[in-house]
Amino acid sequence: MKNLAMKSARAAKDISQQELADAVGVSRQTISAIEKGDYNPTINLCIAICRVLGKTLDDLFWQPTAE
Amino acid sequence: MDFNSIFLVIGVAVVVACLLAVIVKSKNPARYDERQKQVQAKAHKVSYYLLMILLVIYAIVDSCAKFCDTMTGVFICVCISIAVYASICIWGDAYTALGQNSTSLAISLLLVGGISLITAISNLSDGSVIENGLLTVGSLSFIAGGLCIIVGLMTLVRHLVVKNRYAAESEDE
Repeated sequence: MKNLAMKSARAAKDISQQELADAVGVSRQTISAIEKGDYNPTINLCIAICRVLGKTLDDLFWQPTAE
Repeated sequence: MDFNSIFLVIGVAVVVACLLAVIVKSKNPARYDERQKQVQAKAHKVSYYLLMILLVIYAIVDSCAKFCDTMTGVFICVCISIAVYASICIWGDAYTALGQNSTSLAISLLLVGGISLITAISNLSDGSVIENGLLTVGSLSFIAGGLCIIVGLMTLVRHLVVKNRYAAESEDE
């Protein structure tokens, strides 16, 4: 499932995938895979991304279950 | 100066260059992120089981119709397994370490492959590649050179694909 919240948070901060990748210490392809929903990051990486983008874990990575 | 001396000098130069590269690399070890390590782990599993299967197939084929000596046969199996490992890592963007230039890596592989093939051609002219209708250890340079060139080309192609995809994604944003 695509992570549009993360993509829009990154766009709001006006930083590229490469810049975000450099900031959290991963490759650009990993950031791209997370945004496309092709990869589920570990909690440590989630926290690092939230810190850089200034958001909480719920803002970027919470997926509400269908009721 | 004859051809053998030239190849000896080239060989020594390559070995010295490799030793220097190892020393420099040990001071800056390659780093891979968590996703890359996951892809590498999967690639390792697939290539390991493939190697086991290939060795069994080689043993069966060798008992029916011997086409090479044992060392060459095992080397072929190992090279196929390495090629599969490299393919999975390259297409999963897990072959190049963080901060490593994939183009320079590809060029290095192509150079090493080229040097290996030159050695192989020298072996071919000596007649040490095929003896008594069997592939011998003289063919190892062909196989290793071919492997390096294939991996180098795959790295280059993947680099171009990723670069074009990144350009397209950046335009969409």
